[in-house]
Amino acid sequence: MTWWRRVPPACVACAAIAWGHAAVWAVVTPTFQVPDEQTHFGYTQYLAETGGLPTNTAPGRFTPEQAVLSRGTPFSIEGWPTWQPSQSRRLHRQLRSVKPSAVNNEAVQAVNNPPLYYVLEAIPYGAARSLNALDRLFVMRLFSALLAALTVAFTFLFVRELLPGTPWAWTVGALAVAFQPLFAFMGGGVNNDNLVYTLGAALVYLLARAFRRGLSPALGAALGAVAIAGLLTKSTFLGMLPGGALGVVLAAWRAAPARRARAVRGALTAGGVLALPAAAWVVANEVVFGRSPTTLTSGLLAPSAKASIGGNLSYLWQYFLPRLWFMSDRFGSYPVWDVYVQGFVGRFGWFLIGFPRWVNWLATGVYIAIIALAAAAVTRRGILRRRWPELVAYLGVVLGMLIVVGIAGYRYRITTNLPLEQPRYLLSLLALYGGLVAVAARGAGARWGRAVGGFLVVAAMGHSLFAILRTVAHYYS
Amino acid sequence: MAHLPAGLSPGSPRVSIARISHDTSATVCFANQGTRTVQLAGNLTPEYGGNNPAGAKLPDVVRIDYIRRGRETWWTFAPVVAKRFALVKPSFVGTWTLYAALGAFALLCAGGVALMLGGRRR
Repeated sequence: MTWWRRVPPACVACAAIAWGHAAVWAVVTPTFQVPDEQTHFGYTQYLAETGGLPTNTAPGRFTPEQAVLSRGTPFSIEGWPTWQPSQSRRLHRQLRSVKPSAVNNEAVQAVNNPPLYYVLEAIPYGAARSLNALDRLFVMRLFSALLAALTVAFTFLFVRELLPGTPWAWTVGALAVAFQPLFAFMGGGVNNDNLVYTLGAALVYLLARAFRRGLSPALGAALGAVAIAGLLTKSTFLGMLPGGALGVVLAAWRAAPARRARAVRGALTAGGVLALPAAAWVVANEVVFGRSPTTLTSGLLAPSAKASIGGNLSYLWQYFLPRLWFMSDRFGSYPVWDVYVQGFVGRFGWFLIGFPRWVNWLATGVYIAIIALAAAAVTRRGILRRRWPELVAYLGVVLGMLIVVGIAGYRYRITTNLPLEQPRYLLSLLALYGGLVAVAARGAGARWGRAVGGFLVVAAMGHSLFAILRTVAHYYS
Repeated sequence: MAHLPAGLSPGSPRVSIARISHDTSATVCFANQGTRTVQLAGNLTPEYGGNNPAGAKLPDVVRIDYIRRGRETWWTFAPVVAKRFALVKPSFVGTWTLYAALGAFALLCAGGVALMLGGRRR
């Protein structure tokens, strides 16, 4: 049977719903009100128009088309945009007379990023090149929404490996992700995080497959391919790799004796498929494209005179745990609650549009209930004892992401005194979130499981509806 | 021209302006007609949460809101929202698009519910 026939129809349906949801947000969100969308558009334009990678870090440079868009688009990070029909008509008129080019390009803040997402976005850019910039940006947004669909598809397949005997849970996990409003908001914008989410979900799915069906050279090659694709998308994907590597090692270790040699070959294949292209990219980045070595890690590991290991450890500790007596107070608040919890419940636009505090508390209660139900399910019937290596691998993936984003946040804060961390940086873990919801529903028992799963998905729908209405009210009322 | 009273106001000061029937550009000037320094404070720009989760002290920003006359419900205000929604958007977008987007979302939710209910039969 050809591979696409083996994809369950429900998986395709969940992916289609995810695409539609992200497409709704693509229409709702005003131009450049997705974080950093302007620079991601600029990077794609440069690559599409020249075939090369941007190297210019000089700020405030725009192509003629970008300059028209920037002047004509109501934009404010803190405030409320103002809308004038005459301004809109003037912008459309001006865009008709300016052609796309790469002269003086705004890719500044995105220059340090690897190119894979932008290579893919160059496809809709090229297909829509004859359209005006607003239309072209929308086509690019719809392409990003396709990545959201793939993320949900991989989530469905991951939950299928996690809970093979519970088909209804696969749909519950996938739809819980499809209707996550922050994910859909990002999916409806031009931002390389969208490909990170897809590859993160793919990595977790392949790990689950390795644990359930055994590691093989083909599966190892797929794991390595996802890993290198992630590194060629954004350096924060580095956070997924330690847990991924741990998962590969544990999957090989847990293989039955008769299959161990095959599993070891699979693990070595994964390493080889990752290492060789990574080495080639290190060389090509500097020699062929003339880019600084710091672009390999998006500036994450650039030398910093102010950074110290002790400072980094203290920062990471205090971000997640209560401060110890010998540590200076770095935050004055509880950043996990301020940034990650409230942000996951929803912060849209340039982080300004959120929910009232009581909604955040209500959502936190739901998340705690989900975690409790999932914990009950995992500790029941010896599941934890039998599948602990798999759970350890997923935990490693989560911790790796928290640490990498935390390191980036520390280095950014000591340089600029501004926070860097945002919940969107952790959405590469969304498949695990879908799995958590599915396991929680399963943990409600045979009698109540479907009802709990249905409730959680409908709650996610309501959550997103109110997120959309709040966003519309903020920008257009 | 409007005169704002001296001293702190209990809320944001409001100034009535004549109805403007067409788009226009305007410059709003603040002139201090007193003898002492005036500071604008207490604006409603969110300082905490949003893009400033650390509550850092930012330079003050003056914000002016243009408030529509009278009281309106969201239902009566929806056509205005839909009209603004269509501005600075792709060429195909019109005042119908907001309603279409919400309708599409409703269909997606219906599809999701049907998918979950359809699973019951398996």
